[in-house]
Amino acid sequence: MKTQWTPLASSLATVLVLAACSTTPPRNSYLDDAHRSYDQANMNADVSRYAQAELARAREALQRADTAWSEKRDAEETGHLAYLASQRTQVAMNMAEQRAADARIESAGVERERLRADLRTREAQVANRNAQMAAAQAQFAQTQAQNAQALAAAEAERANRLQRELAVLAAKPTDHGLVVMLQDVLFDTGQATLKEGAQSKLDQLASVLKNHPERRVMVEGFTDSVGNADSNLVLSRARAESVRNALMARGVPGDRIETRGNGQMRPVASNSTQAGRQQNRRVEVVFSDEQGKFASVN
Amino acid sequence: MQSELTSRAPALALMAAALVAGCSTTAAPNEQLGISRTTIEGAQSAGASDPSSDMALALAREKLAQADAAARANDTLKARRLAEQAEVDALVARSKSSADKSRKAAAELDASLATLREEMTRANTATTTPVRP
Repeated sequence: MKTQWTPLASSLATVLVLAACSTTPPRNSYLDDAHRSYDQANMNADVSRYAQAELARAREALQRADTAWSEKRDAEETGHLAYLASQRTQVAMNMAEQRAADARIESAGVERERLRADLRTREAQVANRNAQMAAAQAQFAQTQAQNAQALAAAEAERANRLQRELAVLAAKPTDHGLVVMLQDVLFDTGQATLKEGAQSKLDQLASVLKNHPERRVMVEGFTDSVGNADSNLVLSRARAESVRNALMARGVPGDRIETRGNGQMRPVASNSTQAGRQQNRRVEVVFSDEQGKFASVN
Repeated sequence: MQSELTSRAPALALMAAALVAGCSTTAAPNEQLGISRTTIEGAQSAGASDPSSDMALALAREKLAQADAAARANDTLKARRLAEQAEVDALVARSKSSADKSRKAAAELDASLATLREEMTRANTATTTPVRP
């Protein structure tokens, strides 16, 4: 008998335990849903920051729903109050979202004003910089123009001075440049030796060349028509060389002096008179430009 | 019979008291109907005009109409519940509409900020670009 009691007692205990379990309060799904959404809202940072009052209204509704359920088991009233709690929770969520967005709008508005001001400043800086750059460019162009003008003026001045200096030597401007004619009792017939009377003209010529180191000269010898053309060509070269040597003797570097013989070509006076032949026995000194170039060599 | 009724009187009084106490946290139906109507009108004039808010407001108005009908039929409980629901429905519609508007405005502002920042970057790039005279 006694051995049969034990299983019976234990199964009885199991039934009692099960019965105890069945006395835990039944759930209400509306209430559970309302709790879930409330808990979610309660954990939301924006809600706790911006919608405390609205959340309190939701909590109040939820507590009334809890009471209706736990104390009266009134499913209808509980469902109704749970609905109110859920909607109030939604209101809290919406208000939180709206106020967070409004706060964002306010701070973004401030940031926008700051950015706009920065942008205006930056644009002004760019404009200023561009203006400075344009001014610098204009200044640069002006300086260049002035330099070019000064260079041209200096060149013109040097050319003028050369012309003035050569005026005493009766230089003539020609297509080939300034030409100084050395004639009038320069050479005897058939001779390449410079006569005494040429010395002062050669001094002046040498002095002009020293004052204008940028210029070079082409010394061209000529003869009268006495004798044959071939020997006159040789003679004209010798006359040009004589002048070159005379200039070098006066300190003009030889590399600035070119020579050429033209023989009896290009007479400047009639070869039929004594005076005309004297004129044709001559040397022409052609001046180069400032770059040491002759206008055209023929 | 008489004595039986008398003996139940305190219990009835207690129940009535309990009912009054239970209702004390909620508005009387007429008062609640007024609150709900005001709330719905407020939501409407606040411009809860997007389709989803429109629907929620239509629902609230429908509930309010039913609440009015229930009140006329002296079903105070039903009237109160429907009126209360109409009120929170209108509040949800209004707050949702406001949240949508603010969210949209914030997004637009963010976009304009992004544009400004882009312009700023371009302006900065322009100043660092060397220009040869």
